[in-house]
Amino acid sequence: MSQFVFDSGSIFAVTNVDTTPVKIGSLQTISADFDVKLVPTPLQLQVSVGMLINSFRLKFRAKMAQISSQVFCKLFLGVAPATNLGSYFLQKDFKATVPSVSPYTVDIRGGGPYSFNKDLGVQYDSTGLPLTSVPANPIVGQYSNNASTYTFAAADAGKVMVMNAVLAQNGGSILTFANSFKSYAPYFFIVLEGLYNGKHMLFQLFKCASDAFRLETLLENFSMNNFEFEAIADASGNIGIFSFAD
Amino acid sequence: MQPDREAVYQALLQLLQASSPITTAFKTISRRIKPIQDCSSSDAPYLFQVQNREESSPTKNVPAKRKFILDLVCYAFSDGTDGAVLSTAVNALTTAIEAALAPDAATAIQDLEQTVNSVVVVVSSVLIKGTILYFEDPLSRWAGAIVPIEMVATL
Repeated sequence: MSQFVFDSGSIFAVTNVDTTPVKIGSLQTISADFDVKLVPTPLQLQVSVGMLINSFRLKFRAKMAQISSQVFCKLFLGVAPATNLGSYFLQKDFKATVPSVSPYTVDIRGGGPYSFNKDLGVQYDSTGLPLTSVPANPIVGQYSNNASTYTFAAADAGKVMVMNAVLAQNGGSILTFANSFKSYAPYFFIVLEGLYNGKHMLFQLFKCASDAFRLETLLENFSMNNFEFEAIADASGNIGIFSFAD
Repeated sequence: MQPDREAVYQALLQLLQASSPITTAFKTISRRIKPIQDCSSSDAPYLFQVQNREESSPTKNVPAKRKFILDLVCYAFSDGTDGAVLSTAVNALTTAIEAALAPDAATAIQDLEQTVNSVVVVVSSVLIKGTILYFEDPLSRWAGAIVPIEMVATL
């Protein structure tokens, strides 16, 4: 008897970047499109007596809630991210009061164990007006920064500032994405399973490449992200195994 | 062997009874709900697992997906000597329930996975879903919450 599939299923991938498999987490949906382009072969007759398979494409789309450096870097870009360099984050709308006495400085790290990466501007908390960045010796309405230390004018003493910057922290991963010569896409092996009531439908796709990764954030909701890939034949001419319970 | 609905409800109670946030927060954990006036301050806080309804959404030729919808009813008593507001005691109870039903870190899913009568009971998901209702009575010093739970399964 044929089987049902309930729920979003599971996908695992193994890349040739390294030997550590990747699980695609928080799957919402998987769609598989098997697109065959048929060419009618009518010979000398009006109605075709045969169909020639001109092309056969096996395209898959996974919608997932979690964002994984492993999926994005290893599967999509074909490069393992560095896990020993920490990761960046936005110190967003950090509020601090300019000291009432010299030095009129504020450290945007807020006492956290972070390192500075990039200034993203300062505003007055009371009005929202932006301050102007200057190299040194700020006057009212200006600021300068030496890494995470921001200096303000004496005339701005006691005022609350809203500051933004990119900081770096320990943990996480970083991939510096550089341009490169045209080359073959990174390939990976996929295991995809659908299940219901103890009956499994499992596909193994020996060689896949991704042509799309879409990250979509939502207002007051979790992001839903698409990872798309296509299966092709491996060096032995095999595409995969389709396994069913019936 | 496919678990039945009773096994699913038992599995949820078993999960709650084995959870340290629940056993820390509650003195009494039961499926036998009592009216609040029959509760004793010495046995409080109370946690009652109360079935509410089931929703089945079958379509022709396709098995049913079932939603087991129930309430976790919490009662807390505070004599007021600590000066805390009643809601504070109840907030600790709902927080304990959230912790007990938190998804597994590796899978991001809470699926019960409890052995009941030698059968492993796994549902598709257990979620706090809907509106949590709070109530408090300053005269009797009792307060409570009704936490709606939804379990999805294909039994």
